Formats: sequence, C-alpha cells, structure tokens
Amino acid sequence: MNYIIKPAASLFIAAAITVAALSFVYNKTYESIEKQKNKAQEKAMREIFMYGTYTFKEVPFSPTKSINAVYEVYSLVSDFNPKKAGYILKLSTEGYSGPIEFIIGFGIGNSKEIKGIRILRQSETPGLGALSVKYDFYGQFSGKRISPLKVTKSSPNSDEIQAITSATITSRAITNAVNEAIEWYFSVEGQPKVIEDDEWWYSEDKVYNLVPGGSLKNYLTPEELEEIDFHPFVLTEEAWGRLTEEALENLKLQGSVE
Amino acid sequence: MKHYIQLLKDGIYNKNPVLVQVLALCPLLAVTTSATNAITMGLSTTAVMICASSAISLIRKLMPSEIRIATSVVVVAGFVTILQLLLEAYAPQNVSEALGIYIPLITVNCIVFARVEAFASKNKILPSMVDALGMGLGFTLGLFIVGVIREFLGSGSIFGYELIREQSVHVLIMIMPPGAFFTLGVVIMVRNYMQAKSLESKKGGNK
Repeated sequence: MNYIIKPAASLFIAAAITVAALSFVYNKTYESIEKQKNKAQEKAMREIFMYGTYTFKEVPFSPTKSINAVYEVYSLVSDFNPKKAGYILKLSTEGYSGPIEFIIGFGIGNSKEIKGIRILRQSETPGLGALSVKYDFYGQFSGKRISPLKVTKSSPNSDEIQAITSATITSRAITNAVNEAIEWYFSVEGQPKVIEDDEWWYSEDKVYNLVPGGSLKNYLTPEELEEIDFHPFVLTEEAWGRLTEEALENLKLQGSVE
Repeated sequence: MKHYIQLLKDGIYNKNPVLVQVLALCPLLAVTTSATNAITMGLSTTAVMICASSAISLIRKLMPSEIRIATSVVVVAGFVTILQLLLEAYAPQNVSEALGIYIPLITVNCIVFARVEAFASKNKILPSMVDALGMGLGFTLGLFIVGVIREFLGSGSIFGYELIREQSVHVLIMIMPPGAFFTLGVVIMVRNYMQAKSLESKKGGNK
C-alpha cells in the first residue's frame, strides 16, 4: 500500500505548494496587470486621437461578432460642454494563429474619417503576421475615408489596404473587422454622402475663414448651412457661384481653385 | 571552482543544448525570426531553468523516484506562470508585449526537463544552478546565432535595425519554419568542423 500512498502524497504536497505560490503571486499581481492593460489601451486611444484633450466614456453595448466594446470620445476644449468628437471601438478578430485584439477610432462631424487603428494583443507568426503591430501596416488606416476597405497585394488605391507580405490572412482578418466596425458606424451616424469628383468640397473651418464677415449665411440656403454642420462641407458649383469675388480670390491665392 | 567553470563550458560549447544535443527545436523554430526575440527567449528560459533546477535539487531527496518527472512538470509550469505574471505586472510594456507569447513555450521546452532530470535531480543545489546557467546561456547563444542569420537574410535587419531596405532581396523562406532548419544545419556543420579541426591539431601536437 505504501508504494501507492507515498508517491501520491508527495505529488499532492508538491502540487499544493505550487498552487499556493501561484495564487499568492496571482493575487499580488492582479491589480498591476489590470492597470498595465488599461494603461496600454488608453495610451493607444490617446495616440489615435493625436494626444488631444479628449475624454473616453464606455457606452453600454452588447458585443457582436467582432465588436467587443464601444467608447464615445468627447472633446474637452470647451470644458463646460464636452462635445462628442468620435468613437473608439474595441475589436477582436480571428487571425492566423489566434485572436487579434485591436481598437479603431472614428471621427464625426467635420473630421469624418478613420482616425486610425492600434493592435493591442496578437499572437501571429513573428516576422510575418506579427508585423501588423508596425506602423507600416496599421498606419495605412489613418485618415482613410469611412467606406468599406479592401485588401490588395499590389500598391493600394485610396480604399485599399496593402497586405503584409506573406501574411494575407492576418491583413484580411483585421480589415474585415474594420469593415464590420464601419458598418456599425453607418448604422449609428448614417452613411456619409459620397463626394463626386466634380463637386467642390472644403472643410467647414476653411470656408468660414475665407468668407468676409465670417458668416456663410449671406451666401447659402438654410439647407446648405445645415449640411455643413453634419457633413464634410459639400458645395455644388451653383452654390460656389453665389460666393463673392473676394472669397474666390482668397481661394485662388491658396491654390485651392484653378 | 574548476568544476564549475567546466560545467559552464559544457553548457555553452561542449554540450550546447541547441548545437550539440539538438534539443528544444520547438522554441528554435518559433522565436528565432529575429535576434531580439531569440535573446529575450533565451534569457527568460535561463531564468526559469535556474529556478527550476535549484528547486528540484532542493527537494530531490524528498521525492520518490516514481513521480520525479510529474513533480518536475508541476514545478517548471509553476515557475513559468509566476514569471509570466511578474513580467506582465512589473516589466515595461514593450518587454512584456514582446515576450508575451513565448513565455508559455518555456513550459514545453525539453531542455528545462533534460537538465532537471539529468542533473538537478542527482546533484547539490549550487552545481545544479551553475549547470542551469551554463545550459541556459548555451541555449541563448544557439538561438542568437540562428536568429541573427535568419533575421538578416529574411528581413534584411539585425536587432530590428534595417540594413537592407530593398524588399526583393529578402529571402522570405528564412523567416518561415524551414529557414530555421536550414540555418541550424549550417550552424551545426560549422561547429562540428571547428571541433574536428581543434581535435586534429591536438592530436598533431601529441605526435
């Protein structure tokens, strides 16, 4: 009997001591680990919004396939009345060798664009898929217009992302999750008006500064003014015709109009 | 003292775990895609080996021989998890991120068990620690050599500093698993050649 009990008891004791040590270390480090994780995520969020004066507020959201959490971003420039400046979505997607967790930032109002993505956690092949944490890959998303993106292997167009060499699966996984986030954005913010090539468009601030007196009211219809508040500024040629000579002259000086 | 130096020498050159014993090929394939990865993996394995070897050496007389291996598994896994928790909690962000996926690989690293089994379970604590240190450094050296070669040929850089920007000359297969085998084969060949040479010259001297 002894030859069974003695080894079993010894192994039990060894395991018990190890477990005790582990749980001790786990309890001691739990808080710091959570803090480190949150710090990393917040740093990534601040990076996406260019270290501006913003605050992030998690909003209730029931997780979908890729989207884990949603944060609203508020600008603190006028501190009595924080103005909503965009969204940050926490996404997770199945990569080549495990889940990839990352965040994406969207701007709203007159900076309607993909602010950027940052990879938080991944376990892709080192030297291949793991290169997704490098700026060469994730930087491609910054400043893209909010519309579904495609992955390409050759040099990318404005709505395409160039895949990492030999890591197409990783690149596709991330881009697909981004597209899901974009769909979510459309469902909340509405699909932005597509800007045709023959329409003149400028950002709100730019045109406000160009028009004498600082007000567009003299030139534009109420509907056009309302549009400026919610969309990237779109003016038809007919509306441009109503702008004064002086305003056009200013635009010419800046080289914006031929 | 001489004994300890011999132990270190054995670990690093004479019985190098990667180049002579050809153990631990799993982490070799996985992490030697860059020199930095190779070194960090090597050093963290060394840390775990020293802890595990000294712990096993301490309890070697209390442990019935039937469950020696089972106990080693428990102890090594425990140390690896503790190391991982500590790194995640206190190491700078970039270090724990870089190491994150490699740490669990140490648990299944046979070199740790090989030393615990072959050495620590039969020797006193101090020699066991020195042996673990030597073998760990040897492991690091092996990974490092393979890592530098693969990183240079595969991504044209060393320690992440780009030396060759031109993508078309990068040999992609070198940073994929087959590249590890090619490189390891060549490195072992060079080492064996060096050893054969030194043996020959010794013989020649005796004549």
